[in-house]
Amino acid sequence: MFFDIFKCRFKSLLREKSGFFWTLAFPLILSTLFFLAFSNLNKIDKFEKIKIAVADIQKAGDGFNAALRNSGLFEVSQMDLEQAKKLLSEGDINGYIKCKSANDFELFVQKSDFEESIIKMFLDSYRSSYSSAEKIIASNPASAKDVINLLSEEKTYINEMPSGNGNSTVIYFYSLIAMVCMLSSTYGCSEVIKIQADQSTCAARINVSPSHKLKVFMASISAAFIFEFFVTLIVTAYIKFVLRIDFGTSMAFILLLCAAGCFAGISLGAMIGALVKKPEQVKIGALVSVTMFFSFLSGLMYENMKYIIQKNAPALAFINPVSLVCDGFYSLYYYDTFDRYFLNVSILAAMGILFSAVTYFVLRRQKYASI
Amino acid sequence: MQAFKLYFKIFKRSAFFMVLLYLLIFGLIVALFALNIKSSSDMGFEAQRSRIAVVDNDNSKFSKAFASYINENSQPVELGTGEQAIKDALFFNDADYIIIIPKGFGEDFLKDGNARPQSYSLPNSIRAVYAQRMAESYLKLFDLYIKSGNFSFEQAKENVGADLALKTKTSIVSINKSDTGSLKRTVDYVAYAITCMVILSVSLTMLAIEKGDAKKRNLASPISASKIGLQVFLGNAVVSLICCGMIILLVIAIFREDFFNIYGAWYSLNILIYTLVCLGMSFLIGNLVPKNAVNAVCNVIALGGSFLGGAFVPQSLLSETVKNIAVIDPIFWFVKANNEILSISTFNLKTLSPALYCMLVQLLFAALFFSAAMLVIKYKRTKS
Repeated sequence: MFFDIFKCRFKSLLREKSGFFWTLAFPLILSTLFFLAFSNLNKIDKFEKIKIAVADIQKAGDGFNAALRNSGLFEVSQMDLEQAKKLLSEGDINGYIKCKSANDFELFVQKSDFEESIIKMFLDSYRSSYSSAEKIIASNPASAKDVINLLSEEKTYINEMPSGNGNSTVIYFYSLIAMVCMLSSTYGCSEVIKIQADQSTCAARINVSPSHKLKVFMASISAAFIFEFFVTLIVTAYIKFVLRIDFGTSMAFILLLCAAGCFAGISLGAMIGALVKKPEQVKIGALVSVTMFFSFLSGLMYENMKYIIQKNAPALAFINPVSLVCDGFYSLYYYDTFDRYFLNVSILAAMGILFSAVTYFVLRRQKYASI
Repeated sequence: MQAFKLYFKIFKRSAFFMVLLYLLIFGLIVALFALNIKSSSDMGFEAQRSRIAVVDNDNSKFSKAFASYINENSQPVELGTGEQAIKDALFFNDADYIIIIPKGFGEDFLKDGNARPQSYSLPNSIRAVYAQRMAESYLKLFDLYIKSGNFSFEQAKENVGADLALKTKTSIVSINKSDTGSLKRTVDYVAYAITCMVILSVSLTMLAIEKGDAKKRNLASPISASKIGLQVFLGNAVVSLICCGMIILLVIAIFREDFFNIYGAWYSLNILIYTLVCLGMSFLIGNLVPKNAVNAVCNVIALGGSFLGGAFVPQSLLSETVKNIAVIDPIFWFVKANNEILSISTFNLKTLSPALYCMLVQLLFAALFFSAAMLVIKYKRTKS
């Protein structure tokens, strides 16, 4: 009996074209578009040597010339002012420096971006060092040699620690999978509607049949869960193996997270279906809207939104199932430990159990005097 | 003009709400975008500021002075506690550079200049390079004064502050062009909004007219089929132009005087031409796709076209493969035309020809869609 109902519900889910489009085809298309559009996004703000021109460098002296070339920041060309102006207007250089004396310069740029700011900072820094050296030598002329040695010495004052080379665009893909998990709530809601006699004609027919209501519900909700779990796996496999988005190393953890996400989603939908006495369209519409809003908060439309919520309203991140799934994937990808991953999975499982318990207590022993 | 009037009655019932919804969404996006626009009157050079977080575990006089200098010359970022907070801040670009000052740093640095704070940053980030150089120059000057042996801590601090306050005169070279970059990015976004608005309004209204009672009534009326077709097409054109007009008005409302120049005029022409492409596309969809699939088709075309064509992500950041595929996407040519307009300094036929070429390609797309729609209509009539 259980297996027959399971089979029928599974077949009927396979035949729902609209559901298939929004839970499978749409995420596949969207992930492909994300991949095509964001593949070069992590190249923004990468440092490349800044192209500059210097005019009248002889006025600044050899010290400035050496500092400029040893800084490792610039590709330097020496030329006259007119030529430099022409190159700047054509966009071939970021700026040009007009040397007036050993410690007096004028910088010409076209905009105020980081490249131009670095040129200015170098010049400011050179002037500052020059001024410091003058003051120290004035106070103790014998230290001149030491000061010059110290200034010309290539010495770093800050120890750079190894930092992760994370690509934040992966959040878009993780949020997308989390959205697919949570869209399973629409299936959970539909399954509950299909056993409540005052909600649909199909349910009225089921209620007069001699089969146990809970058994029917368990079979249909299991079919919905298995269906949605496979859909989520297809989307995840496509993103991982075809688009080659990094998910960390462990496949088992990815499967567990997808299962926990689908369980939380299905049970949330079932609970809303049982608690809210409104037409199916209203309930589904509300669930889709809430899912999209939760997806927005977890970074589907703007990747930093996840971090903004995590930093400013951490409680909201913990009650948002989409954010929990997304954060689970992020933990697998970026952290060396699994503490945060297991915290996310545990909260999702706890949510699923809580929603299921509420659904059970609402649905049990429900009788209809008249429909 | 009964069919024309009928068109608007049906449009009001079937698509008006959706058009308003998309207009509202677009309005919100543009308004948010406008919040980040710098005033175009501010033409002087303004140095950038990296986002730097300083975690001072020392709290000595020197570490406080160092942290204070960094905070004054950057956008200070507050970090949570623990290693994960550091990793998260770097991953989500909340901080470009994180400096951890260890306990005892101040005392050790002032003793021999060998103590080092630690830094975390994303590899090879230009913002981090900028931040690092800034922090290093402070420590280097302090080291210089302390090692000379003639200056007390307070004197060294004062002198370093005075030396670092020396600034180089920096001038922005005028290139005789208005700052229309922000306006251009907004106009790029128009492609998504206008595609959704025109496809939904035209396709849904046409499908409602072509099905059920409305179609039967039209067939029974004494007006010829060609006249009805013409009036329905006129309705489509008017609705599309209204969508185009509403979008342009919205952009004007946000950018005001920045829009009223030669660039704004050319952007408007480009939007109008792209609206014709959408009209042709919607006309084809309305004749080809069943009603329950219009929403899905609209989303796929608008989102797909916008991502591929560079409406959401600048075309300069798209890979060559994507750009090669995108030549069959009208939004690619719409955005390319905007790019060409933005790059013009002096407007004449020669400088305008690349933009005009992109507009011509869009017109060809429109003609292609109309022709395909006519073929579909003819095929349907022959079949019925």
